[in-house]
Amino acid sequence: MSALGRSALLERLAQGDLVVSPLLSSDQVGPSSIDLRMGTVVLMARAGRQSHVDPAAYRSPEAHRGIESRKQKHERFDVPFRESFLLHPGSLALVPTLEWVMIPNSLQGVVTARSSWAREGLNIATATIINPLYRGIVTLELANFGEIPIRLCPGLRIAQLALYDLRRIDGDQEDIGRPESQFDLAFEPAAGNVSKKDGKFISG
Amino acid sequence: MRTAKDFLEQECRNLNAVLEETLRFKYGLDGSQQFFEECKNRLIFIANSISSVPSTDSANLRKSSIALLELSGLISRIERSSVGEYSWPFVEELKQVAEAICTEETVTDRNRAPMIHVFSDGGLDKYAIFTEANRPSNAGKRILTIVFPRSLKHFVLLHSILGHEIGHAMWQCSKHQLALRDILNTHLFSTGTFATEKDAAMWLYSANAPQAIKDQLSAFGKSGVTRNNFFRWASWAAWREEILCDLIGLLTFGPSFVAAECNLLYSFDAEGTGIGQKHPPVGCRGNYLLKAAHLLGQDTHGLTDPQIGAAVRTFWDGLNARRQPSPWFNVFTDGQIQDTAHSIAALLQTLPPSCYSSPTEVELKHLLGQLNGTIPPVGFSVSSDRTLNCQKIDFRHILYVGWIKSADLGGLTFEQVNRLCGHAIMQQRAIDIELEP
Repeated sequence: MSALGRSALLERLAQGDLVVSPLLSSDQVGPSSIDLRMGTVVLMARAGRQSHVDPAAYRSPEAHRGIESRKQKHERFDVPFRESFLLHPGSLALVPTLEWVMIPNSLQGVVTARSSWAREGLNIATATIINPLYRGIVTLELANFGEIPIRLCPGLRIAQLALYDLRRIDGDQEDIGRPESQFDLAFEPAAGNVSKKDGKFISG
Repeated sequence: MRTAKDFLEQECRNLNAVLEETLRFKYGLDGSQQFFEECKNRLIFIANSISSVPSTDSANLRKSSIALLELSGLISRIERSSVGEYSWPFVEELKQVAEAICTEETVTDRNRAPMIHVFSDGGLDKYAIFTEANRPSNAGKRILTIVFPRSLKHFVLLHSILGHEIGHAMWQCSKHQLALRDILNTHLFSTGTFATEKDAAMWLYSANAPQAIKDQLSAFGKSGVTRNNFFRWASWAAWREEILCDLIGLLTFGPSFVAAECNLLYSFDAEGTGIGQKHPPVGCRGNYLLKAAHLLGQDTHGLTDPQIGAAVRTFWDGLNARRQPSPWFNVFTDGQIQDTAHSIAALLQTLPPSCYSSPTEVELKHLLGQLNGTIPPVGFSVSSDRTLNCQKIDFRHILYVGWIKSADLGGLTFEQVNRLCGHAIMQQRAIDIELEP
């Protein structure tokens, strides 16, 4: 498994099997990664009526309790370009990337913070891997680990995407098929199903 | 016993409290200050008018109470606006068209753009633009209130129907009404079916009208509506305005307007034969729009690429299948439609970016290629020499390819195509910002 460098990234983008659209400037493609910009929706985790995250609430995701549990967890904001929002210390926010991403069968994506933002206390993405054949925006999980609020504006480059070739040592591709994903063709962040297929282990 | 004047003065204080209460919320895309100040000024003016008249002056108190009612309606609408309930990227584009069309000439300002306020409400039938036909005399700017159906937040392709509502706003704009009236009287309504109320009634009640029309008219007859008094029941002025607004919608939004209008109107009236007090039968409007689009060349691009040509043909064939076959529905001649459309287009061309222009084949191919690949269609590409290219794209072209794709979904759903196009309009704004000098 090898990382793609700038020329390989550009080559795959030109071929069209890898999609990261739109890239607003050529320096968004770095030596071994592509910078990702912040999109225009923010889901702020909020302290509401819920006392805790309860996997049991997700066992019937389409029932009232399951829907309420997901919807009440976050406050949703649309943040148009040239507006901003403040990420306070200790807060968690889900934001989409501006870019639409499509990963081909032969690649895996890994999202990380940009070091300049990380030095300001902005932590990005605890779930960093993007599976092959994923299509949609990438959800960034932002947390402020610093002691002062951070002002964030849609369009800012806040994350980076590295891509790794999954071809086997004999050069053949894994034939994985399109995986079943609750986030395929995502247009904005959403709470996921934390109890997916693990219902037997959840009491209550 | 409280007098009417006491009551109205109390209502002014109530309204002032409500206005301040609206600042609890962040409303609209451009914040609240402009709206707050405009409403506050109007309220002060009305309150002063009330306090300056004796409590026995019922005529002037009545005038103030009407102004107060209109203002309270406006303020309550402002409170209901939430940017998360409608597609703000679409609104940003729509605003540019609406501002260009509804900019007024006043004594102090030759180009006074309206304020635009947006909120969402209800479902399919809620698309509207309130134009504030009557404003208090101290009003600084006209406030246009645009309403989107809440249920259609993500269905940007249908939002093109607002081109028709922009037509109403244009008609009520003193700057354009005279010119529009002149165009209509010279070209569209000079002769033929819609020349006079009498001609229109003759056509409605003619022997070759479809049976569904005859059945409705017969039912109306039981309530006393006849050929001679039909336009006392229906509004002749409203019928003519609807026809004008359809044409303005077509000229401002292009093919996506035709598609949105045909889809929405036929969803309410599947046969296209419903007669309304304020609008002629849907079938007439559909036939007239499709003919106008054809005469304007919107359905022919001289496309050389066979794949794109086939996709565009499928889209237009689907729309033309909605055409009512009976010649009774064709109420204008080609010449009438063509002359009217060209005259209004010439007027719109002086108000950029309000006039729609067709995409080039290269643009169409690029956008449709992206959409076919499940990618939001925007002005971005990577050339074979690995250079990144960003370019401006008119949001109406994104809507057009969305509708072309909708005619042959190829594994996607109509909702997904809408969301891809809505996302594209948002992304295109970022591209446009980056391209700013």
